[in-house]
Amino acid sequence: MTCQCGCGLTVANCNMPTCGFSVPLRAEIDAMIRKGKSRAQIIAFYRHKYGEKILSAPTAEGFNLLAWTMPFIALVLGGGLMVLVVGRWRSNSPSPSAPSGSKPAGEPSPFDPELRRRLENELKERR
Amino acid sequence: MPELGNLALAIALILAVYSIGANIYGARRNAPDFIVSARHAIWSMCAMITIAVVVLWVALLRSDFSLEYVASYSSTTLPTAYKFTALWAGQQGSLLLWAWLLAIFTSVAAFQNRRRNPDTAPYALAVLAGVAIFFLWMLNFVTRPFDLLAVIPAEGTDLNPLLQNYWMAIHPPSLYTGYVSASVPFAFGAAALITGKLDDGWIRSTRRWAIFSWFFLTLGNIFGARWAYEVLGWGGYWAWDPVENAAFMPWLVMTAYLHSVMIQERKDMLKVWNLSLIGLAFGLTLFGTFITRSGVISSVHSFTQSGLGPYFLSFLIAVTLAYTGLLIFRSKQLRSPAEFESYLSREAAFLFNNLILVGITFAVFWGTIFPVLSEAVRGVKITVGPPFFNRVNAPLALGLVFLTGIGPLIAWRRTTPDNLVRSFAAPVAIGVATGILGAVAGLRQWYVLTAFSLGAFVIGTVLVEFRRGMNARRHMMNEPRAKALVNLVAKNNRRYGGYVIHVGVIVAFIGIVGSSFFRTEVKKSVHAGDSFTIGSYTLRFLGFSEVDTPHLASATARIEVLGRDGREITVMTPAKLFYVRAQQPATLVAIRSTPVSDLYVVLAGIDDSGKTATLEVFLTPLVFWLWAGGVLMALGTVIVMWPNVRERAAIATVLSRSSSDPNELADLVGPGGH
Repeated sequence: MTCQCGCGLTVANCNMPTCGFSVPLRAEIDAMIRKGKSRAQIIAFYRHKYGEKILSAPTAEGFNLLAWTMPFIALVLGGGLMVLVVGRWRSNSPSPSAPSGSKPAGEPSPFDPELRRRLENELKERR
Repeated sequence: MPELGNLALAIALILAVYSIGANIYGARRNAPDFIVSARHAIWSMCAMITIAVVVLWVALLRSDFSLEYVASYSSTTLPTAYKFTALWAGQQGSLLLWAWLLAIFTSVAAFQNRRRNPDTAPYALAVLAGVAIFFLWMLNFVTRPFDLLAVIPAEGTDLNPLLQNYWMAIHPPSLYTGYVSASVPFAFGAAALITGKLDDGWIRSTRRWAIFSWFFLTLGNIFGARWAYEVLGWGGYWAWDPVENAAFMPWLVMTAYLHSVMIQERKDMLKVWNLSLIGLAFGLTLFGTFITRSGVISSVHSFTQSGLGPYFLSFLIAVTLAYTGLLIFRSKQLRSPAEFESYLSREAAFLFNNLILVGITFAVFWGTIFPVLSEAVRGVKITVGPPFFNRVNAPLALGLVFLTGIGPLIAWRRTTPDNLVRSFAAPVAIGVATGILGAVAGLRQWYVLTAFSLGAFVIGTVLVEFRRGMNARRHMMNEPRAKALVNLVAKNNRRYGGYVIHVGVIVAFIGIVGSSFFRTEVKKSVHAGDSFTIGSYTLRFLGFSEVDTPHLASATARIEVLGRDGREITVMTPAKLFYVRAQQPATLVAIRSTPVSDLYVVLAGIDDSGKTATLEVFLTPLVFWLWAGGVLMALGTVIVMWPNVRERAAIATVLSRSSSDPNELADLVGPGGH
């Protein structure tokens, strides 16, 4: 649950000296726990009293589901786009098995134009 | 004096407008005189803003309460150091600081480019001056730092107690430096789009700026976290507060940018992507200021709320539209023949790195604005707090850590299974061994085990790289071990500095995981002489001591800390403070930091009789390593930015040949990535 003193911390965490919200609330919650109220009951009580903004994370229902799912949807869409673009790039480039392709890095061949270009670039940097 | 400040700001605005006209006219008509004149205008603008800053500082130091700003954020009893830092405590002052930094960086960029980049520099400087105009406009017409009060109060209302802390003295300037210096690469990117010179010249010319910006964004975030840790008194350092997020997002995007530009420099691809990233980074710095200033999203850090939101939002929208328009306008020219051979390549590792970094940025952005969306769509206020961000970002962070290990060791283009085994056998072994060790030691949380294993794996890859490089030098140059190591880093400072940064990130990550999963907390009300235990420590409350000054009243608890063997380790002195002017209480936490865990003591309350203290004690394992990781990141960045003698010689050679080809020079100024 979120503290309502403006600190943005949870009720359990807020230690702002000016906070008049968390301390009484923590005492109240302690009392409810002693009376044997369950976690769900306590949360429901405060949700009813203060509204949804008391919950420190969106519920997993309705419109709020969007909050939880959107980051992953975006990631999958982004990843999909990336794979698509890379696929187009790969069809542009010589296939690895073709004779014109270079040997794997780490085994430089003086006749490989690509590696030669790289070598020259790097030599230029060293100059 | 205040009139001088107002006048200086007005002249600065006029000079900024003039420099844009002169730069553009000079560039279009090929009139070097105008370009020189524009440069001088920029330097004069910087001088004018400097005058304004000095005027405000003098007013603060002299407690000149005829100024509204001084009366609101200072007092006669405020310690001198905080009078100095009160410059950025309020909105007008922090915008002034922003404008000042921007003017300084623009001036430096103008100086660097007096001969370089003759085609693009005038436009880049015009873009920077355009941004300066926005801030100067605000300072001149909307939120004026030199407004006078009709009635001069005898005493000021004082600086917010939360800001009277040394981390607050350095956190905002660091963060602002990071924010504002990101404008330079952005401006050169925009200039590349405007002029159509779309090669990687703009990236190479501003490489150091980008790293500089990243460096200060890193420091700004770490200092802010440290401030929260020491001041807010809840034992944590990061609460995914909107303002923290606003500082974190540009850091994420700049990190992505610094990696992806290496692909463009090497393979001439991803042009659109890199231009978009730098645009996004710049936009996010404005967005950060927008949400802290507007009050649209409430936050613990926004000490300066006001009605500036619409101005920032309009500027943000205008910049976004203009920049996107330019990207679309140039989209045909930006197409480049891209090559890509295999997913087992460094290109691919960098692409995934970018995907995850931008993914995290999006998640953070989404969580930050979701309350606003919810209110707009459902009319219900909700909170998106730490549980959300932690749960969404935790898996992404693991992916990123994994890539940190893969990226540097995998070859460009493609790599063979043979190579993979050779490079990764030892690091994988180290990672797996760490995991097994952790499990044997009793760690059961899968996330912690995975995080520690992956962290060890990454550190393993870096060790392998250092060893490989060192051995090569030892054999080829016959150098002894230590000398080989030093030379290895000195001669390839970009590459090995980068590795040090990676280790710093991992070390900080381990600190974050450890402190998030294993924190314990004890809350006790005690009389003098009472003791209680937490972890292996025994704490005994000895009593209070009180100090009253006109500025600050404090009650300090003395607490003796004993180790397991009963020997005294230290005495800790957490305190409750009361700031007299502001009539506000505050807490001063006591922290005893060791690499294993931090003992963090808060004096939460004193009962009315003045005999009982309520103590809240946190034992936070490994949090030490978060700060250590920050230091390593900073150190690595310094290594990366260290001026390279060879590089300078190369620049000098080209200059003496008075090369007419700016690209050649740019090539030498920013040699390609490793």
